[in-house]
Order: sequence, then C-alpha cells, then structure tokens
Amino acid sequence: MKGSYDYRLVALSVLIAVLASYAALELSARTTAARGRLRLAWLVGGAIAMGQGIWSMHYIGMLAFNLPVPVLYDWPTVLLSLLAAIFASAVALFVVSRKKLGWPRAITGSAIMGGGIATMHYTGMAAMRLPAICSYRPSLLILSVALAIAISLVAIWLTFRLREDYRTSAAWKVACAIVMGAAIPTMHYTGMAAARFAPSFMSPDTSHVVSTSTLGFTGVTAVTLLVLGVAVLSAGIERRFSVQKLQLSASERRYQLLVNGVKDYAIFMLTPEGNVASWNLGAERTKGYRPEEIIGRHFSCFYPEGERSSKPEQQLQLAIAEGRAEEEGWRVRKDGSKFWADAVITALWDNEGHLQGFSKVTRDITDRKQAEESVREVSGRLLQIQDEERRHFARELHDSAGQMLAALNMNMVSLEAEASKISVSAVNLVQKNLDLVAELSKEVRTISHLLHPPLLDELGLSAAIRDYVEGFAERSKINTHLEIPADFGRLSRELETAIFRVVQESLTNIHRHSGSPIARICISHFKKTVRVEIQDEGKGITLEKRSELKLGGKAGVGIRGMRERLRQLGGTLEINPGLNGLGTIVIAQLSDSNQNVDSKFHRGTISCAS
Amino acid sequence: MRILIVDDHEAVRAGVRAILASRNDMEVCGEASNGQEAIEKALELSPDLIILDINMPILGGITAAKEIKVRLPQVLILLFSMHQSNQLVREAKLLGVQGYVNKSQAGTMLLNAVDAVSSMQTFFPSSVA
Repeated sequence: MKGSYDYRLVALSVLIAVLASYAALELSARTTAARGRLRLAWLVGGAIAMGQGIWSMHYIGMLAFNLPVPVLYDWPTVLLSLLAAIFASAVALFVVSRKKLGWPRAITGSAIMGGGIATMHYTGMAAMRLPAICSYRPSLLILSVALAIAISLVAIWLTFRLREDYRTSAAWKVACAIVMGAAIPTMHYTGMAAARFAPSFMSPDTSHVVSTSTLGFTGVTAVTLLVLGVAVLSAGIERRFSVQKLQLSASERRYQLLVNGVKDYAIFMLTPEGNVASWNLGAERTKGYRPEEIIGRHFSCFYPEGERSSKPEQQLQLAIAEGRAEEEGWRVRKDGSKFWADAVITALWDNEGHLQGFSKVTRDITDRKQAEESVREVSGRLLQIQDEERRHFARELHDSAGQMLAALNMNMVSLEAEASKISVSAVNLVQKNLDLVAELSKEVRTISHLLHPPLLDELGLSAAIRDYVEGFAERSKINTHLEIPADFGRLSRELETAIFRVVQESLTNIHRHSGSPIARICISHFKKTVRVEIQDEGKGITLEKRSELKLGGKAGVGIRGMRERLRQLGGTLEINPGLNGLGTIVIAQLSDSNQNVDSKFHRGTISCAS
Repeated sequence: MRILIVDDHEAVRAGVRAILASRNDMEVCGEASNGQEAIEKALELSPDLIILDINMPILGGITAAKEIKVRLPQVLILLFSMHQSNQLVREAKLLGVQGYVNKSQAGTMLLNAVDAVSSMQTFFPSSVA
C-alpha cells in the first residue's frame, strides 16, 4: 500500500519546524539569562512551547501523508507523544542553558533529546488506527534515530553558541533557525520512509479515536502558531529588557571598577542618615576599615572624639544647604591614629528632588600639611635667628665699639689737658678728634638701636617700650598713649622681643598708612596671658584687605613677620576694625608659660603727648 | 674721696682712671668688671662713690645698684652707661642713685658729675635727645 504526500502540508510542517527552532533559540537565551524561579518558569514554559512546536510539525507531517484507507488516531497515545516532545525540549533547554557545555554533556543531552524526538515520532505512528499493518525497514529506522540524535547535537551546539543575545545578530539567529528547522523534518520524513503499510482486514481498535478532520489540523496549526508566537514575543520583550539591564550593569560595573580601583582617594557613599553605603580601595587604605567592617556604620566614627557629636551632622547640613561641604581637619583611622584630611561631601538628589544620600571624597594630606608646617616652622626659626643675630650685632656695636669709643673720648679729654702744655694747634687737633669720636658714637648708637631695641635686655619690656613710644611720638607727631602695668615684670627674652616687635611694627603701620592722629597701646598680663592691643583712629583696613591679611598670602612682610613670630611662641595675632568702626585694632595674645604668675594688675599710665 | 670703678671693659676703666687722675682729691680704691664683683668689692672696700656701668655680664648695674643700696645705704652711686634714654634716667632716679652719666660724654661730664654727687647733689642729664 503506497501513500502520497500533500506537499503544501509538508511545506507547512517545515515552516513550523523553523518557527519552533527560532523559538528554541530565544527561549534558551532567556533560560540562560534568568535566575532562580524565573529560570524554572522559562524552562518549563519554553519546553512546553518548543515541544508543542516539534510535535505539531510531526502531526502536520502525518496529515500530509495520504493513505488510500481512512486513518484515525488514538488520542491517549497522541498525548503521550506530545509529552515525549516536551520532555525532549526540556532536556535540550536545560543542557544549553548551563554555563559550560563540554562534549560529554553535549552528547548525552543530544542523545536524550534525539531519543525523545524519535520516541515522539514513533509513538505518534503507533497512535494511527487504520485497516493496515505497519512495519518498519530496520535500516531506515536506525538512520532516522541517528539523524534525530545528530540533528539534536547540531541544534544544541548552535543554540549554546547563540544563547547570549547581546553578541548575536538577528540575521544569524534566523539563519540558524532555518538550518535547524529544515533538519528536524528530515528525521521525520526518514522515519516515514521507514514505514511500510500492508493492508489488513482486521478492523482497528477504535476506542479513544479521533479523526483527522480539516478542523483538527487547522486547530493544531493555529494553536501551535499561537503558542510559538507568544513564546517568541515574550522572549523578545524580555530580551530587550535584559539587554538594557545588561548594558546598565556593564556601565555600572565599569564605574565601580573605576571607583574601586582609586587608591589615593577615599571615595564612598553615605545614606541620607550618614551611614556608610559603599567603600572603595582608597577608603580602605586611607582609613583602615575593610568594607564589611564599615558599611552600615555612621560616618561620625571618622572624626576625632571631641568633634563626633556635632561636626559630622553640621557637614551634612551644609552639604544639603549648599550642595557641597569642603573641610580640612583631623580624621581618625580604625587603629586610632590621626591624619590631616581634605574632605568634600556632596549631596545627591534624584530627579524629583529627594535626597538620595551623599558622596564623600577624602584625601590624606598629612604630608602636605606637614610640609606647610615645616615651612612655617623654618620661617619662624629664621625670624628668631634674625632677631638673635641682630641682637648680637647690636650688642657688639653697643658694647664693644661703643665702649671703646667712650674710652677713646675719656682718653682724648685727658690728652687735651696734656696737649695744652704743648701748643694751641695740638689742643685743636685733640678737640677735632673729640668731635669725630662723638659723631662716631652717635652713629654706632643709631645703628645699634635700629638692630635691637636698646634697654630691652637691661630694663625689660616696659621700659624699652616706653622709651620707644616716647621717641615715636616725637618723630611722628602722633599722640601716643601707652598703658602698661607698673610692675609688669620680666618675660622670656623671646616673648619680650616679639611683643616689642609687634608694637614697633604696628606703630610704624599707623604712622605710614592710617593717617590717625592718635595711637593707643595697652599691654596687660593677666594670669598667664599677655595681651597687647594697638589701636588707631585712622582710615582702617578695607574688608578685602583684611581677608587677604587673614589668608596671609598677600599680607605685608611686616604683618606676616609679626604673625609668624607670635605663632612660633604659641601666640595669635588678630587684625580687626576699631571699636566704633573707626580705625584698626591689632590684638596679639601670648601665653607666658614660665613665670610672673603673681604680677598684679596695677596700671600705671604714661601719656606721651607730642 | 675713695672711688670704685665698675665696668666690664678694661679700656673704659682705664679711661675713667685717667680722667680721675687729674684730681688729687680723688682716689680709685678698686675696680670690678661685673655686678657681682661690684657688690663684693663694695662690701670689702666701703668706697665713698661707685661709678657703675649698667650693661655688664653676670650681673647688670641696675640689679647690683639695688643690692648695694640695701647693704650699704650711705654709698654714693653714679650710673655710667652707653644708653641715652629718658626712660633709663627715670629708672635711675626711682632706684635712688645719685647720678647718671652718659659714657659717650664722660670726658666732659664725669668730673662735673663726681663733684656734684660728692657735694650731696644729684646729677642727671636734663633731657636726652
């Protein structure tokens, strides 16, 4: 008994096979990308859709085969063949969605899958109920099973290669689907070719049978196309979503690699409450905490003990108010050691204006700070050395040269008496020498006074300043008042020199720049603090000038010198507008750590009017 | 009049000596080169007058003068210094010494000062430029 094919249906079966293959590629990609429950859902759903596709290819292929006898189908057996197809698909999807695909796994998987497809085919054949006996040619039967396995192997291999969709072009996928889709019917039609039908007059078992009506085949085709369509469509949507996610996570990963790799800066995030949310390598190196030790803790632990309660919160509020908060200050490492940090906190807002948290970039600038300190230290030392040297020169001039000139003067006077015994011209000569000696003495004294305040070492600050102020008032015609306790006492030489220089520098500034008719100096020594105030009523210092002075950058050498001199001794210098907004007031404060605790606070006032 | 000369410079002491040598009524009874020595010599020699330099090592003239005033209240002291300062003159007066002579003018002033002091007057420069 010979059968014939309806080639339109054969073509339809091939088309369905191609569609099922394309669905298989998509589904395998989704199954690979998904995790956990979602993966199971894709696996089960995918297996059903694919199995349904393979099965309906087979079913339509059967319908394309016409026998001269009526053919009926036993539906439980048909259902069983569908299950075999679904099982084969499940195995295939499971195998290709693994991370790795070795030859053993590929061969085992394709054996099971091919076996499943063959089972599906021959179970489907067995469901036929017709008045004929079906037998198989063994060679073609074996060939069909071998083909099923070989095709499965190729399919699994191709699918595995193409499952990561962001690497594969759509054209490649379609091409693969066509190759696979063409291969599957090959197995089917080989299996069909293996079958021989001998007419029999035994009527078949017709319990549970259905006929192959036109409606049946249209229904099967429609359902198949629908299921495959839904599978491909949903896989497509999911794919687009997943590609986006993948791209996003790729850029996030790059960004994270960048931030994490930075070693010289601590870069981390804070939650809106100020808890640490991320931690890079630089943060670990700078602060000593490992990520798992610090994430979730409040960032106040980076601040020194005394600042923890208010400072961190202030910084966050400042960042909220102004966008960012930059600060230099001491920070504490995990081991308790301190470092000088430059830290910037930036508030992070989302598009709707909700605070998402803060980024914090901290840099250890202890080295720079130390370098600055040492420069300051050196310049302070230089000033001290300069003072010391000047003092030395002044003393040399005053004490050695000056004393010798004094001796010379006395000797000349003695000589004068002797000269009168010789001649008038001898007396004149001696007198000329006396004049020269007097002039030289004056010269030496002037230079020596310029180099170092006279009397400072012998009589102390109070007398030396009074002396200086007197001279200043006379030279400058500025009405200068000095207030200093009568029993001011002595301070260390460094302190006395520094205070004298501050007064001297300030008075010079008043004379040169302020235009003030008066100057007031008030020096007090209370407990262990020496406070010096020098005030004028001149034109004052502009705001810009004052901020320049504060920064120290463009401040004049004189002011910088004063400041460094004081800093060297642990003191401070302030330059403020005068009390009623008139003129300027310079305030120097120094702590006298060694002596003169009992100095009472008497105020003897000497007014030095010009 | 027995006079003690206190100055850390040998040349200055010699100059003073030369000036005083022109007068028969004045006798240099001793010399010292710092404040500490001055106190010891004063106690040892009980001079009538001490010509006392201010600026000296170990112990300055001001401190030495204070000490000597306490221990020998009757001794006359003439401060003798390179400094020209009203302030210093004021200090000297407060200290209770009898006179102050500027070293650079010693040639002309010293004998006048010694004369004034020995006749129980004080000798201070009226104003120093």
